Amino acid sequence: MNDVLVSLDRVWVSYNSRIVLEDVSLKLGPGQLIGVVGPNGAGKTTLLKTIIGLLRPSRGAVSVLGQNPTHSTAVRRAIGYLPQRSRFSSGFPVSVRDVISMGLLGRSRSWSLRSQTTMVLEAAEAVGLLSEIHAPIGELSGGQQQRALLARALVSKPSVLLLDEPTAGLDLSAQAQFYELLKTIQSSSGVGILAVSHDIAAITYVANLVVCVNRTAHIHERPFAELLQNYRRGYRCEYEAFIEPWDRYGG
Amino acid sequence: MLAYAFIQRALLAGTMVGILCSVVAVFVVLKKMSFAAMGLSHAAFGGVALGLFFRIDPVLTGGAFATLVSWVIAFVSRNGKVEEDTSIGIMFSAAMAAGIVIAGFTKGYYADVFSYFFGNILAVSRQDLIVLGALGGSVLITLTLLHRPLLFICFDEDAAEASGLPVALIYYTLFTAVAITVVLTVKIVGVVLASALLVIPAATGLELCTNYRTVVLVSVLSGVVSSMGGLALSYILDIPSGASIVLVATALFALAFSFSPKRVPLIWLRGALRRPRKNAAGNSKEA
Repeated sequence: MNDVLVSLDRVWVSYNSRIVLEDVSLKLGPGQLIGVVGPNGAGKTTLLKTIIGLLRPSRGAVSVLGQNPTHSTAVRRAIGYLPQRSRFSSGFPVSVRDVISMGLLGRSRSWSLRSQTTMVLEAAEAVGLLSEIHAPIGELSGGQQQRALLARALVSKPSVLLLDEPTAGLDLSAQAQFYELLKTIQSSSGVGILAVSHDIAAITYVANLVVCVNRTAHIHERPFAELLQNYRRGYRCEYEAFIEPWDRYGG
Repeated sequence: MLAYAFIQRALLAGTMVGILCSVVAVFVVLKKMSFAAMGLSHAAFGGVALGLFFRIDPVLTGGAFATLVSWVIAFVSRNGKVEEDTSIGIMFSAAMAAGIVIAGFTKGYYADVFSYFFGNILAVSRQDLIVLGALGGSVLITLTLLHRPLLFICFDEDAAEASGLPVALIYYTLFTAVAITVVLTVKIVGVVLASALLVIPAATGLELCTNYRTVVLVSVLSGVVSSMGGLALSYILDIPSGASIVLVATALFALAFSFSPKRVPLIWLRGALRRPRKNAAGNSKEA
């Protein structure tokens, strides 16, 4: 097994000559959960899209399982991706089962129909949606919908899981359930997880490491306390909203 | 009525177009491409006018022209600096204007042009049926093979792209399928109303069903009933066939909208049926 699933080495990414990510270095190992925090427009989603290979760095090197993701769709297939909250209409005519099955598309050529069915059912069970497998996706609660999308990202048994604000728009109880689920998946499957979040309190609860992105990236080995100390030292990642949950949780 | 060969051809063409449009319509509605479909049906007129001018089959020139326009719209909407609805608005009005100018230089264009503006299902020839069968069949086979990736792209394009699916290629294929369908439909209901058949049957299906398989079935049923019903109404009332087909499709949608389980919950219907009736003395008794 690779010790490093994802590696970014001094990566720069630009859009229309505007630098979005600057000199970012990062390593994600098996069973590790890295939280990515930062203000709006800081480059968090760009970071994930660069890892997937949808964006090409202007400088530096990205590797996933030892290969360049922009050149290899096989590498992309090793990544499970949950984008920012999907904007599908509530009447979109697919069931939970259909949604989870989508995660096998482009990846499942060698799997039989029976094994695909088994994989879909296992993924539904892993996120606690087995009883809702035939329900239309639009009839589920926000938290259940996110769990269904997580199951879609997990169904092909990826080595790397990238989550882009997976709990945005969910109430506190649904957020807590989601992060509990993430912890369970992390410990049981050994998948490496990179999760972008605005909620620093929630992400630091589950993350082994927090990366603060604001064009460049700062890595925090001991997440909560050190993160806050660094803000007070005047890091470029200063973000007023981060202070609020700290106070709320009695910091 | 059925003894006439032109009526038989019209019924066959109506059924084929009903099925084709209804299947394509499901993806048009799910991908929120209704305006693009309308733009393409109007843009096809430019190609039809070129065909009439050069005395080539207008379906072929219209198809080529609409396909080209569909690729430009698809390119702009994926990569362009112009908003998709703006680019469609510019493309379809420019293509339509070009068509009108070209038609102005074509001898005897009025009768021909009007047949493409409002369609004439009764003028469908044997050759038209062969073209409709071959091209329409190809579109249906393509969409059947691609239906799962298409659904994924309609549902969550970002995730589909990240999973390694060739999203751009599938997107262009869908636009091409819509362009071909539009041109095949223009002969039946005309440029003005073609886009209606690329939206209404699927909207009817979506009112009544919550799974895409049944949505496609209801959409096809609605499309075929609209074609047959519209043709019958056209014959009985002596009204234009294209308009009557679209009006029947709209009436079916209105019915589906009114009795949709989304608005009239089944539980309420059951409750209403089981509600105790009152006798003359005002006492309740079970129905």
